[in-house]
Amino acid sequence: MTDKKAAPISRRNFFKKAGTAGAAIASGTTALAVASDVLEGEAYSDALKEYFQKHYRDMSKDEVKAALARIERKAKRKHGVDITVENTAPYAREDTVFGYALNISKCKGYRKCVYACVEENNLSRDPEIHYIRVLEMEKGSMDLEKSNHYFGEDPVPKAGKFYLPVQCQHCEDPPCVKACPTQATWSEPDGIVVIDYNWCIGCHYCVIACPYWARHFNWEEPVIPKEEINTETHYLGNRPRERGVMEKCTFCIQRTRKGKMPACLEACPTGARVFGNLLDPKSEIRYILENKTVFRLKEELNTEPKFWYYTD
Amino acid sequence: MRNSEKQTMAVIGAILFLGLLMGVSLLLSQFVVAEAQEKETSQIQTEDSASSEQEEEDKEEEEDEEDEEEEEAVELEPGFQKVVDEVRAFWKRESESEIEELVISPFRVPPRKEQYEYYPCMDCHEEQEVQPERELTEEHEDLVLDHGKQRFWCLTCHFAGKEKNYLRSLKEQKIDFNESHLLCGQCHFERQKDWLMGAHGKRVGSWSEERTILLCVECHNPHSPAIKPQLPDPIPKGIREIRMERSNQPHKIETKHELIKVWDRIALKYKNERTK
Repeated sequence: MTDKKAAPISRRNFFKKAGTAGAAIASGTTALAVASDVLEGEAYSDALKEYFQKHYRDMSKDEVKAALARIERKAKRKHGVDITVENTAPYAREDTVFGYALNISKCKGYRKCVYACVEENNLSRDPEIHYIRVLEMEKGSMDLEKSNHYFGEDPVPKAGKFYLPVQCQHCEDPPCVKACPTQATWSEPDGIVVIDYNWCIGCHYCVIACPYWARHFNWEEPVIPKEEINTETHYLGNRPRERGVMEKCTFCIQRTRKGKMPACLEACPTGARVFGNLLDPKSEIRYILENKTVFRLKEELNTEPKFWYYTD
Repeated sequence: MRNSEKQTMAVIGAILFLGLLMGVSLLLSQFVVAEAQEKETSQIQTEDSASSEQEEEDKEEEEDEEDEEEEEAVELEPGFQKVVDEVRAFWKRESESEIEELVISPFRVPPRKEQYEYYPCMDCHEEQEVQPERELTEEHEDLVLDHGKQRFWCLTCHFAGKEKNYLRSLKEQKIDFNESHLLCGQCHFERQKDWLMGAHGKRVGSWSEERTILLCVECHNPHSPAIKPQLPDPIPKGIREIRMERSNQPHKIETKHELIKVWDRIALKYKNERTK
């Protein structure tokens, strides 16, 4: 015991420590006081509660309910729109796993799906965020690097080209989920990969991990015209997002979990898109998988996408 | 004293270790037994199923088919039943069982007749006669016939007599306008099959409930069915374009969280105080 020397508490050190602690406390209290001045009543308590909100999957039913109400109030304050936020439960894994099939011999590159998705999912108009990328490809080639994303000065389809829309592939083994350091993104029982926007720290790891360029970052506060906001929203889907969080296609979770079709499918003028339940042997998508020539993007990466492309 | 303590510690450690071993071995043994039991049961099951399959195979094939029909006894829409019959008739060389697979689920087609401007045809054609020439001059002159490379004309699909309210099949059967896919399927039978099964065409409404699919003529103009090229929706802004736009603007500072706004205000307040 004797060899360990106790550090002499000097007068200077003592005052240093006491001073910093005091300053911290003082600044904290003043901060709260000022905060309550700036944001009054409900807005202030909402902001505080949101700040300390738990992860979506850790919240109890009451906590989720409170969070949904908070988001609705916030949208009212921020955008002046009455929205409804729901958390429609996923289908059971044994009954339903969602899958998508896209006929590339039918897709003509009209980009109707891109803008239907923007409207449905409350995507930022400025700066632009699009969940769907339609790539113009050389016929007979699958070289994605030589594809053209910015076609459209001439009428489509052009001779010698085919069109390949790419969006989130909802992998069974999603690399984005593995990469996320905060577990803010995960795969739901019905196969949809979702994000808890409140839990995302915007670190971009998932963007780098995703081989399909499916994740999009809100670099700035999203701008959506008030009258164009879709008021039917889902906590894990199209509720208004903030600056600094990641977002991506959710197979229109707010629609498909109620039995409706995704917005991109409804908008497609050529009928190239097919959506359905992979576990239902009588579904259309199962027929396509069993009887058509299908392929998946970057199959060699073993991400097991639930998004198939097929040809006539 | 120290030695005795060490000894007791060693003994206790040994006992604990033995206990652990025992526990683990017990668990393992249970697991192994359970697995073995499972294997046995599964083997028995497979044997059972194999034997039953053999027996079934031994039975007459007709019985099997009847069973399948009983299982798939779904009430088909009249149009759908018609299609199945037609396809069966068309593919006489194929065996019955393969055609059975064609049926995945009954479907509904949104009625189309009511949308037609000129329907029912007999309202006008009661008095007017069909023009014998191939050129349309008095009525319907806006129709452009570009289907089948000039092999067809009006009376390939329409009646000349009193049955004008129906479409005409190549065998001169009447086809309802709401079941016009039967007409298209006479030539485009492969497409029709795809359409019936959901690999071509468009399903509307719900993915889970009633299957509603659009008729061929909802997308293809029957008189000129090829889809013409058109301009796509706006080109997305490229990253370079966005950078060019942004480079002239001052950097926007809009904060993410409402609370952070508060911190900003506080910082400003302190800054102001300091400058005073």
